[in-house]
Amino acid sequence: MRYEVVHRTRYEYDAPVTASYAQVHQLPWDVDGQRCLQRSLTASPIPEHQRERTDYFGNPVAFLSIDQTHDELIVTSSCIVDTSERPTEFGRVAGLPWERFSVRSESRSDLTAVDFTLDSPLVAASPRLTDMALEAFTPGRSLGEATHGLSSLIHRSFRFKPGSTDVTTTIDEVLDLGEGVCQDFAHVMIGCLRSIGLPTAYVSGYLETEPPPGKERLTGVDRTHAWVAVYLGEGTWVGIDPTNDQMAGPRYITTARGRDYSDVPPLKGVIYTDAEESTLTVEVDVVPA
Amino acid sequence: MTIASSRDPIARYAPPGSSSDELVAGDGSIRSHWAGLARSYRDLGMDELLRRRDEIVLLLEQDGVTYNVATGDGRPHRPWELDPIPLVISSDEWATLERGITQRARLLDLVYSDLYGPRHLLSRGDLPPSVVLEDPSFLRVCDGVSVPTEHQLVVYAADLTRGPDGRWLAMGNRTQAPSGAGYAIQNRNVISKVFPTIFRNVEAMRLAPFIRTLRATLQAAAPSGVEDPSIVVLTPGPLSETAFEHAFIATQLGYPLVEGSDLVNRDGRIWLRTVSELVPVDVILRRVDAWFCDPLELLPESTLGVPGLVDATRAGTVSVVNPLGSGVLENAALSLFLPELSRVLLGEDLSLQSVDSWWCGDAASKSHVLAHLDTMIIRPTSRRRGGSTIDATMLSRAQLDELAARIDAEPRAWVGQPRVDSATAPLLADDGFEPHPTVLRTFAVAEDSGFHVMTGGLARTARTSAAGPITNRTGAVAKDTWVLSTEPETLGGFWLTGAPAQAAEPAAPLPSRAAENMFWLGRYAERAEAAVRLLRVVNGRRTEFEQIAHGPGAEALEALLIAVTRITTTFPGFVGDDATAMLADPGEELLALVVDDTRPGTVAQAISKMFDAVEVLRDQLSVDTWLVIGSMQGRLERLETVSNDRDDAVATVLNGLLESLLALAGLMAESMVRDHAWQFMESGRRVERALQVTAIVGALLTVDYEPAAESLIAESTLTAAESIITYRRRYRSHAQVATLLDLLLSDPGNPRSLRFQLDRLAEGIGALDAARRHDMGAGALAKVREALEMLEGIDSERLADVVDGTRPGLQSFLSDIRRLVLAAADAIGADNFTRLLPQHAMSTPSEPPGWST
Repeated sequence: MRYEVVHRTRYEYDAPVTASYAQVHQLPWDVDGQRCLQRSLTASPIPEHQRERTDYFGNPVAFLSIDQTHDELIVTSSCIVDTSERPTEFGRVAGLPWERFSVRSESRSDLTAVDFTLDSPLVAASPRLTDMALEAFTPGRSLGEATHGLSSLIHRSFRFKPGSTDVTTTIDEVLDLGEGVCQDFAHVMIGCLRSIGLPTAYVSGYLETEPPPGKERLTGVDRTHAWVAVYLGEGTWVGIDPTNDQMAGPRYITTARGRDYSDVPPLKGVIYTDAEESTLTVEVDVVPA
Repeated sequence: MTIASSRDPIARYAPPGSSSDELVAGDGSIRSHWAGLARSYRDLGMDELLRRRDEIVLLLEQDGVTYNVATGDGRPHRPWELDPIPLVISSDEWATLERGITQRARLLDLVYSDLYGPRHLLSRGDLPPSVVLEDPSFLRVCDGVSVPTEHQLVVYAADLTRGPDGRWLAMGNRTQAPSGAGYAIQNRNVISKVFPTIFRNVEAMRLAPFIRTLRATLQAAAPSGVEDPSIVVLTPGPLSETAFEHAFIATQLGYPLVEGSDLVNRDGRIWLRTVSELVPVDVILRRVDAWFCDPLELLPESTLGVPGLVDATRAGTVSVVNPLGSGVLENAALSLFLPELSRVLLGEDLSLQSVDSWWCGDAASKSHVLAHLDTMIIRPTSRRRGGSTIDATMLSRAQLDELAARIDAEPRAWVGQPRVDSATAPLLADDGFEPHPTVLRTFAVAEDSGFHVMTGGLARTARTSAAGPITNRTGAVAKDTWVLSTEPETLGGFWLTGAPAQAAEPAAPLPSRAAENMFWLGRYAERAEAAVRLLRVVNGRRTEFEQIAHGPGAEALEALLIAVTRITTTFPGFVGDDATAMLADPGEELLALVVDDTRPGTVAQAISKMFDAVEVLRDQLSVDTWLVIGSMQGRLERLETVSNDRDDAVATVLNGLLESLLALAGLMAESMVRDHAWQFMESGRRVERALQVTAIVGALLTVDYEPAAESLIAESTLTAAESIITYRRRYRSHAQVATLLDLLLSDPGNPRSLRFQLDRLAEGIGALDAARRHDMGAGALAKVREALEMLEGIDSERLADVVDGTRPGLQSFLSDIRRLVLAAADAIGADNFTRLLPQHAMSTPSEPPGWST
């Protein structure tokens, strides 16, 4: 599939902002069977300084600074990506017992595997998560089946409810609440998989949504999305989306992969202002191209 | 105390047998390298040693040497405590230590380069990956950052202790932003002043080359292509524990001391906000822990950093020293692996061993720790990971179980160490030397050929003999450390070993924040002086007239009291609802106007604000400033504890305060170079004095009193405005309002007149504007000129005209002048000082991203 994505974030402030500094993880690249054919990042006011680099995890990331006084900031990223090669199954390893992929953190020379198995700022392994994982990861079960099993379990056990959590909600709170948004679903699944030694990443990106049957495609209704990717070694990752209980196939567009949300927020920043309030609007369009 | 013990401070020195002792050997004899010092101290005798101990206290107080401890009551300063007895280390032993410290520095430097580069040590398994990857001080955002010097780790400190077998062991590595080198040098300055003869005879190695080496390395650390780098010292600010040292080091190096808010990332590089412009910064000597250095990429709530600093280091436009990621080298588990890493990276055996440690991330080690838990010190691997060092030998059974459970739950986060009984060294107690556990922090700084180790260090001695960590926080006493030289050093004096003269170098840029504090220092110093003079006058009148209920004296006194409230703006005071009662018995309120530092307008508050400003300006002002301001605070504190004869005590204290304030004004006038910083202070002083003189005239002379009362009031006005003698000499008559206005407002030759202040202010603003590369606006000068023109045009006789009991002409003139002076002050601020709006994190979507099909 080929998509054109436009992601627009707008802040309106009730008083002037004298300076803004932002870090943006909204730049798809060639990863996991995805090809980025074209991308751009712009902002208004135009940043005095803008610099792109590759972060520790291999994601493109941009730093921008705006020194002129403004009361509105718009950051727009757009890209054309081709996701046709994105795997839809675990492939040849799907049938192997899951234990083969579990990492003893001190015995692997593959640092990626270690990095994505250890606790991260927002996701820590716990007995509670281990128990949940082991419901699906029964001894000797194949990796593919078990992972799907866990995804289904999470999908069944938690209610998707926008507004029920925010970015500061901890995993334990999500487990207690029994509801959350895609970020929470992803964090729970990551925590489960890491608790049994499976290296897992948080993936931030977009998902193409289909208009309801018989309706026109609306613009600006798509959303940023988050799912997980399981590491199979040798640079191979497979994405799965517990929120929708499906493989993260060609309808998923990856912008960044980190240990959890805190490594790859789509946009974070620091501003200087007397403003008490800001209004934030995020619009995403994922259009098949 | 016996005569013998007062003569011989060492007679009763008896170290416990359980640990080794620095001064005496196992057989009780004094170690040979201590012999010279022991003989000299014995010759001085106990009484003289105690006298010199007092002298040390005084010197440290005069230099304003503090270690700040958060106490919650707002003033966290703890005076730095320094024992008169140094720690003496023989040259042979030092040679071994120096090699060991250098080797550890070289090793950690290579470890750093690997961890933020290829990470072979982790992928090859030389170091368990989780030790590093799980440490919050391993900053992934700093991956790949390097500075152009040969070594990435520039400043290194090793905390050493001597075990019972006499060997030195490393307890920990300090690599984040090591503190203590400045205190060590300050200790040396004081001890060599207090014991000049002994210090000369013993021939301890000098410390100054450390600073010289640091300066050279910082210069070399500049981004490539920068010829004459601009270097700053970054501090968290005056409330930081080691604020004294930050300023001390900055002064020694000759670089500006800056806070995060003084710096800004613009166009991808870091700039210093100075009064005239943004000045590029090439190298930052960092005394702020990395996490606080960049709210964009590290701790979002930190206001001590610079958003975009990390990105500038990645782009290589600025060099941060030590690099932001260096904190990971402090990891307690890492030190276990140093012997192996030393073989791998250096091909050498590690010569200075660490204290035995077991990392609980290893199953066998964990079992060992849990089996011997009640004999262990348990340390978190990373300070940043939370949890502090736990002395498990002090725990109850239940607490031990709880600790064991914590270790079991998170084994990789903990390291166990058997408790080491640190060697004792003599501490000077009231009746002689006493053995107390002592540790030593040593310092190394990178140079081209390797690392230079400070020939000395910061020794710290526990005040009690009880076990526990020996740190400044726990109230340990510092010691100078004397490393004996084998041969006389070729360089003679302290100054000879200092910086080479760099006469051609332009003055260091004045950070905008420093300028602002200078301005306010001038204002508060003048405000304090004005309040002190006014209260002295009122006190005098009280003595004369308080017992008299009616008549001109009583009327004048009441007018003065009311004026006090108005001039100091300490409402409601003598004009509020309780005025009648307060006027009848003004003692309490007048005392409060001196000592209550929580109330704006009081003497104490002005002095406290001066103190705040001086703290920020440590690197700008002569150390004598501390002497003066410290003495003022001392006087105020003593007054708060006086219960009898308060009025007399107040009078004495006011005299003393005036003396100190005059001394301060003298320092400012006679000991400061007329640079930008001085101009700001001077402008502040002039603004405030102009406001004060107009306030006094406004409060006392705009009402028409009975001639007898008016004469008393006029005289008081002249005294408060320090112009009474001139007036008497010039007019030889009772005070007349019109002539008084001539002297206090228009006389260009009276240094207390309004005219004089406006003239000086115009000069000061002119000088500041001239120095600016681009004119930022003539607002301040225009306001002052307007005030001067108004002043030119007045006729004092007409201003003194009375209409219905008041002088409306004078009133309106004074309020116009005050408005212009305040506008000028605002314009100085707007033109020169940075007004940073509050820092916020950009909000994240209240509803996190998500989509469910």
